[in-house]
Amino acid sequence: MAKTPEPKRTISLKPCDGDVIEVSPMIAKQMQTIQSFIEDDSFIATTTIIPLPNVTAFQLSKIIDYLNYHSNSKAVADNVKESTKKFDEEFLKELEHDKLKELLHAANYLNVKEVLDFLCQAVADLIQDKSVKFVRKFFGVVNDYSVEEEEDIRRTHAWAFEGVEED
Amino acid sequence: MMNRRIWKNSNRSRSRIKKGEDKLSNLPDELIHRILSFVDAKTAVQTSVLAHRWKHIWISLPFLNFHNSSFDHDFLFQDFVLNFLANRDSDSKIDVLKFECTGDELEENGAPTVDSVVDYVASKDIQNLTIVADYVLESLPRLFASRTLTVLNLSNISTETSIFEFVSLQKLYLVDCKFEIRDVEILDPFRGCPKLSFLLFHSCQFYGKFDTFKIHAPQLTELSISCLRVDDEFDYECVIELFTPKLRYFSYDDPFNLYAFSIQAKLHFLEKLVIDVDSSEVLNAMDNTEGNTLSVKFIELFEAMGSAKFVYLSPDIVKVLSSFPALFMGRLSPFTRVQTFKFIVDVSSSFPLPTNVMAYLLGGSPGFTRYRRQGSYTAKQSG
Repeated sequence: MAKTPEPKRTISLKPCDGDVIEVSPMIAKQMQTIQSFIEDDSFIATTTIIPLPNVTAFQLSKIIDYLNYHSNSKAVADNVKESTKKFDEEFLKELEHDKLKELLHAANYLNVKEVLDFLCQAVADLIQDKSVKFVRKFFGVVNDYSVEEEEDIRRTHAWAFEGVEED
Repeated sequence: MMNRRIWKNSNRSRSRIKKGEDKLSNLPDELIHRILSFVDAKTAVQTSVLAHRWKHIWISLPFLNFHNSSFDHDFLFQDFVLNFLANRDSDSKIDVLKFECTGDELEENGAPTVDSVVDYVASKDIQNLTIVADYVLESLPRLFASRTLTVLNLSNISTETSIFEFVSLQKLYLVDCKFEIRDVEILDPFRGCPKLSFLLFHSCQFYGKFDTFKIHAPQLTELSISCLRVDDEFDYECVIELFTPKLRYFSYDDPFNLYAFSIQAKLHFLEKLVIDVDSSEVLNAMDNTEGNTLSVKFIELFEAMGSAKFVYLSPDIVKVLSSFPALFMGRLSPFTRVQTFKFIVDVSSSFPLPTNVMAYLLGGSPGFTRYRRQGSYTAKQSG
């Protein structure tokens, strides 16, 4: 996936599992966490390998895929909207809920805005207009309200629960 | 040293995520806000019943999306919006607010919800506001008080406000809006927006007696005008005056005609020009005075926008020009540095490309050497 051109100008990233992945400086730049390492005086592009103990090889390659596709499609002005949409749909289709959440954590750790916004939108679309039960399950939230407390919230916020059936 | 920093970093995020607990609930508020900034406000409030931690998240969200689509009736939607604002933490700022009420006209005798929203955000350091509602917006001038608003997007609204005074506004989108203009001869709506860099109006109606529509925007770089109507019609008398010395992108589209433009400051920086005019009516007319007038307007506009590198036109423009060769023959080509020339719609191979018009349009651009029939006409990159 990531290519190593000569001479070596790429940034080496080591996910918590799997081998080192090389990324172009342009891609690395979009990951704020990586960028702050690159700006560190002790960083030497040819030898330094940046370890990412919180990111798996799968997550890292997904994020790189996304950035690669979107930075390339920006260059071509016409008819990209549809193919971009298709890419985004395919990208999400491969992700089960758990994987999506884990990827969100990875994107947050790497602080990569474009992917973070995209994933937050995806999560938002998932929970939009869903039952409380679904949203709790999706987020893995443990309900720590008593029955009375929950009823009280529903009653005092009845204006926001109009048309919503209780689980 | 390197490693220490990395480990410090990862330890910090690790401590946030204890094993066995739900991961997303332990996300920082900032990230939960980020997710909830994409959901409808109704869904956002409903997260308060998830668990204690979520109870008060919605009251300080800086991104709000109000949409009537998740309500059975508009009055329930309006009731929701007013309750939301009343129960929200009034000290929390709002960066982005979208209010969309599509479908029927908002009941005027009902609660003036939109005005309440405008009044609420005017004092909240809002940056980005979108209002989509078929509604007479009387509160618009009260938004002038905002010193932070940078993007304003208005759709479907009607207003008597025709002079905008948004000191910090950079982008303004006006779509399907109606403006009631008082008796002035020169309409000059944007002079009070000194930072405006992007302006789009699409299908907007202006009602009034003005004959000059002035766009005074010294910082404007992008301008899109489409289907501008005055008193429900295409106003032949109306001249659009541009004082936009920094303009880089100009787009005009109209299914009918082209307004006369008067350029008050030279457009040295114009890069991209998109003109889409459907002139079939003019072309089919028995009398050709109109076609003549239209051709003159095209030529004048091209000459004013001669620095464009990317020129996209509708085929009708070439057709109209080719009917009046006397108007451009012997004239210098208006453009001097075209790199890409394109037709906006696909040109059928039966459309005979008039060589005299093409030579007139492209002959003055040394960088442009290649003609192609289909798709785009792209110059060979020299060097």
